[in-house]
Amino acid sequence: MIHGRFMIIAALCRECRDDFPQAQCAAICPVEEAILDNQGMPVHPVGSLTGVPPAIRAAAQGISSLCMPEFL
Amino acid sequence: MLRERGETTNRVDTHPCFSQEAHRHARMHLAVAPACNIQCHYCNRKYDCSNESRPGVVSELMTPDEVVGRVAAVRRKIPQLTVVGIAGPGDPLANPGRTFETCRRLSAAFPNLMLCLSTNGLELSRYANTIARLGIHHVTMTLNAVDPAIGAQIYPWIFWKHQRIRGIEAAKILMEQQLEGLHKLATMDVLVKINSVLIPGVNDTHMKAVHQVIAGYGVFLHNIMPLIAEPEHGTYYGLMGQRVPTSHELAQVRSQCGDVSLMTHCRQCRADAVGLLHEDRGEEFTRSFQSRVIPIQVPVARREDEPCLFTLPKPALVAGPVSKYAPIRPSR
Repeated sequence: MIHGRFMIIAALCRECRDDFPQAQCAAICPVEEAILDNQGMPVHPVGSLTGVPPAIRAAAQGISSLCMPEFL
Repeated sequence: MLRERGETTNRVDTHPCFSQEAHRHARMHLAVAPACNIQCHYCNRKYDCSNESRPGVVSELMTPDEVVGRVAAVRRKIPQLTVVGIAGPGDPLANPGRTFETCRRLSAAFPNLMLCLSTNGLELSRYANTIARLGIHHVTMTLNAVDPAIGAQIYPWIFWKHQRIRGIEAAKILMEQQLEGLHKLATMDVLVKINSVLIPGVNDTHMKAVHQVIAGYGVFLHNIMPLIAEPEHGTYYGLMGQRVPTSHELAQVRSQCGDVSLMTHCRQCRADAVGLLHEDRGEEFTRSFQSRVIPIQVPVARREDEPCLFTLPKPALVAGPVSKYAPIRPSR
C-alpha cells in the first residue's frame, strides 16, 4: 500500500497461478473495471460487483462529480 | 453469558457509543483500515470527502505510524477523550496488521484510553483471541440478518479464503462466522454491541428474530439504526431507490425488541469522527494540523506473527508475458 492506496507491481505479477484459484487482486478489489485481464478487458464489468445496472450508474455519475469520485 | 451491571459500569459510563449518559466523553475514530472483505448494499467507501457524514467516509487515511501523535494532539484539545476506535473506512479485521499494530501502539502510549473497534464479523472468530489479548474493551459488530436468504439481499459478495463468494452461500458463511465470533467474545471480557441497519422490505420484519438470536450471546447493547440511502452517495440502495424507514417504522421495530438493551442515540458517524457525539471535529485534526504538533515517539515492539488477509504470490522467477494482473500488496 502506498499513500493509502493499493498499488500494482506489474513486474511481479504471475496472476496467482499455482497459489490461488482466483487472481487475488480481482477477487478482492471492489471497484468495477479497475482490474483488467491479459486481453485488456475488465474482469468485473459495470454492474457485476455492485449490482447497479450500467444505465443507472451512468446516469448517477452525472448527479455530482464532487460526491461520487469513486464507486467503491 | 450475562454480565453483572457493576462489572461493566466503568467501561460503559465513559464510552459515548455504549451509554447515552456518557455524552460528555469524546471518542476518536482512527481511519487506518481501508480494505473491506464484504460488500454491503448500503455502503461504499469514500476518501477525501468532507461533505458526507455517514460510516465509510473519511477525509484521509492514517497509518499506524501516525496514530500516537494524532491522538496526543486530539487529547490536548479535547481532554474528555476516553475512547479510541477503529471503524473503517473498511473493516478493521480485513486489515489486521494495521489494526492491531495501531492498538498496540495506543495501549503503550495511552494505557488509560479505551480501545474499540467495529467489524462486519466475517473475521471476528479468527481474531477474537487477539482482540481480547490486546485489551480491546469494546467491539461493535454489524448483524443485519440471521437468515441467509435475507442476508443475500443485503450482501452481494464476500471475500473468504481467497475467493469472492456470492449469494446465499456468501451470506451463510458470513452469518456462521458472525455468530461464532460472538460466541467467542461472550466468553471473554469484551463488551459487544450489535448494529443492525433497518431496511424496509428487506429485514424489517426479520429484525425481531435478529434481536432474539443476539440475546443468547451476552450482547450488551443492540443498536437498530435506520438505513441511509441517498442517490448522491452512490451506494446500491441509494441508486436503486431503496426506501429508508420512517421514524414511526423505526420506533415500531424497536418496540418489538426488548431482550437486549437498545441504543437509540447513535449518530451514524464517519469513520474519522472526532469529539463528542453531537460535534464532529475531525477536520481540525487532519494532516495539516498534525504538521504543527510535535510527534511523540513511543517504542513498541512490533509483532510480525499476525496473519495478513492477503499473501503475496511468489515472485516470478522466469520471464513471461506482461500481465495486466498484479498482486495487491499486504496491508502492512
